[in-house]
Amino acid sequence: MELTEIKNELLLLVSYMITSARGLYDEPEEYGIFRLIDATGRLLAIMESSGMSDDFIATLREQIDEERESSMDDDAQKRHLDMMVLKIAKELQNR
Amino acid sequence: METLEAIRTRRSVRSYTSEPIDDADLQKIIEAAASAPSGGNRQSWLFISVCDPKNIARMRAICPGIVGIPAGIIVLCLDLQGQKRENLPIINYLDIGAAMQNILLVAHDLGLGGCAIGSFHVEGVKEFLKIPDHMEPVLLTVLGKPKSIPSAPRKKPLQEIYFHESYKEK
Repeated sequence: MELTEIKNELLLLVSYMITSARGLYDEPEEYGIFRLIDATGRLLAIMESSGMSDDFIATLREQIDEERESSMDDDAQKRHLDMMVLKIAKELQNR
Repeated sequence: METLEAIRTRRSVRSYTSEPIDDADLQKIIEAAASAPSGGNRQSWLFISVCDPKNIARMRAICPGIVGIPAGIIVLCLDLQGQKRENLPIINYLDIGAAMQNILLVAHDLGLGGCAIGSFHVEGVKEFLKIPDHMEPVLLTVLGKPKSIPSAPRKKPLQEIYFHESYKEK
């Protein structure tokens, strides 16, 4: 992906985040969790399509996609997010 | 597909393949939307379809409720008829709901998945799609070939929500 394309993709993400922030004034609070998860998925997709991914990031993206497309209850979602945070924390020690 | 079967098996689908929507299918879906009942047969609605992947990407940036990347978006607009949104009779909004349900059922019948979306920036969508001032986007419906179909959500038992002849306290 060319730099201009990456810039445009990132601008779309910025727009999504600003629109989400505005929307949350009128929407249920729990939507905020989902918007953050969705924004993460969108960012990871940009990283992947612009050659900034690796095995760890690709796995992370799969897990985030699974997270945002599933209909987990709150407890299951918390556990899933906890598990992801622990994996990232471990990975960060090696980077 | 039988109507009752379509109603029972339809799901809110939020993940799609990259397969585009056939033009003939899109036409059937819009015809179904326009065939919905409306109070006093006003039909004070307008439908805009967005299928260009570039425009879908841009719409996703101002419509946080769109999860996944659909092959098409239908914007259901209401004609404000010179009134403020908050002063419009509720029946006008219900008409849009009826059109939306027709869209989802026909899409399901055609093998497409769909989902109604209420989380979007109204003014942003108006600006992006050049929708005139007297028209108000009320709902979006996103469509595409399902990548996965969610299992049936729990529905309230009829005993909880239905009474015959008169309401009875539990």
